Amino acid sequence: MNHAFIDRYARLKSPIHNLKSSQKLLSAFSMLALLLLGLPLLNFGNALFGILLYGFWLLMIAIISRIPLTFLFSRSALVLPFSALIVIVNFYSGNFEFDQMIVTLFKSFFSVFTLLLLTSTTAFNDILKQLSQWGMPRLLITILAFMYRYFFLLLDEIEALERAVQMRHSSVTGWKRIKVYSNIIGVLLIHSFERAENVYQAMQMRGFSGDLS
Amino acid sequence: MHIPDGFLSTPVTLGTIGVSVTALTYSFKKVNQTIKPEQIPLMGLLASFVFMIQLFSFPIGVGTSVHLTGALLLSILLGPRAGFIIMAVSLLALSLLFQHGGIFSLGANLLNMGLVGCFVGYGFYRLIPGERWSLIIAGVGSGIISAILCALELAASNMLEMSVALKTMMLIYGVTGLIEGTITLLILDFLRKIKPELLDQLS
Repeated sequence: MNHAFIDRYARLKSPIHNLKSSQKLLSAFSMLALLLLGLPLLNFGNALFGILLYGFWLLMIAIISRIPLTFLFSRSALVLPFSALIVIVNFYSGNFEFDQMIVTLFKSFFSVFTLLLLTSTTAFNDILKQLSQWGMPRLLITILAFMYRYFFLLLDEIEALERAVQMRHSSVTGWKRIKVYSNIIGVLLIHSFERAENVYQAMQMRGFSGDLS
Repeated sequence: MHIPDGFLSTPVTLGTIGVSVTALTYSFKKVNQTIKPEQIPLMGLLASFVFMIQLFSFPIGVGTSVHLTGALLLSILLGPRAGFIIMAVSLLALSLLFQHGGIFSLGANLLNMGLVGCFVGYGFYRLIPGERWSLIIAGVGSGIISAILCALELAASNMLEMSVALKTMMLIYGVTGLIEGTITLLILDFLRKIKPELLDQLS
């Protein structure tokens, strides 16, 4: 059981971590909006200049926040195969100019990087608290909080199930494998229903009537 | 396929967000009127469940792997509106916590996977008689509609030519849809065999 991976750097200490969560959320979303919707504003006449300026700014924030750069780069790089595929297809059909290829590659990379900076400096619960203060519906917040809480338990369960499958059915392929897979999902589903019932009963005893706050 | 941020143009981004937010508000109003308190933890746990099955792709041989979206299963179990809300929650969490699909492209992803999977898929399921075929057709049918939408979004953003985008997306979503239908069918069979009272109590 080693499940702190989701927002594992959110509890570091740094000038960025110390900001209020409203400030971090607002700046992350406005930076993303600038990158995705308003990039020409940064260009000053050269398409590459804008994207490089944005990257430089991101790197400064990353260094100040003391999050390991290898983590940020390797996680952001997961999106590169998608954008690389699009760039390659357009390279062969001759639709993109050089600038456009570079911008396409870096745009998705930098937007993942920006989101990673947000979730690595702000704990998920703090993000939820802020969103509910900004008027996100209670039901959505409550569901999100439950989801985050039980994700780890489900993860343990699926790991145990996968191990059981490897022991018993590792050589099974094709149609049989699909059947095994759907039985696993079925078991997981039944357990989720049962757990939801128990959780509800336990919470009802403590006064829960549909609202966490 | 979860579209990452940076692929869609401004009009496409804003348009898809508009459609998804409208659908979400509508589902929300309806669900809020009828929801019982004991269903709230259930929706949270099912969101976690969908989140999980979207993270674990499973190999089907020949070097390809797919994962379910869970939209069809949820709509059958809880109804399309509650299913759509759960899809929205888990896609938001996938994007924030695992960078699986972007935040600004969440509107497009929710439209392609959630809205089509829940409402169109469920529509096919209810309209076509005979459970076996209706589930397969629901899977493939909503897969094809998702593929067309996804191709249109990418082509309108000048990212891919329409013909290329349509071919690729048809392949991805067609296979996923077929498997989605089949596995949903198998799961429902499994539930009927192991815990039939669960389905009775829902319907």
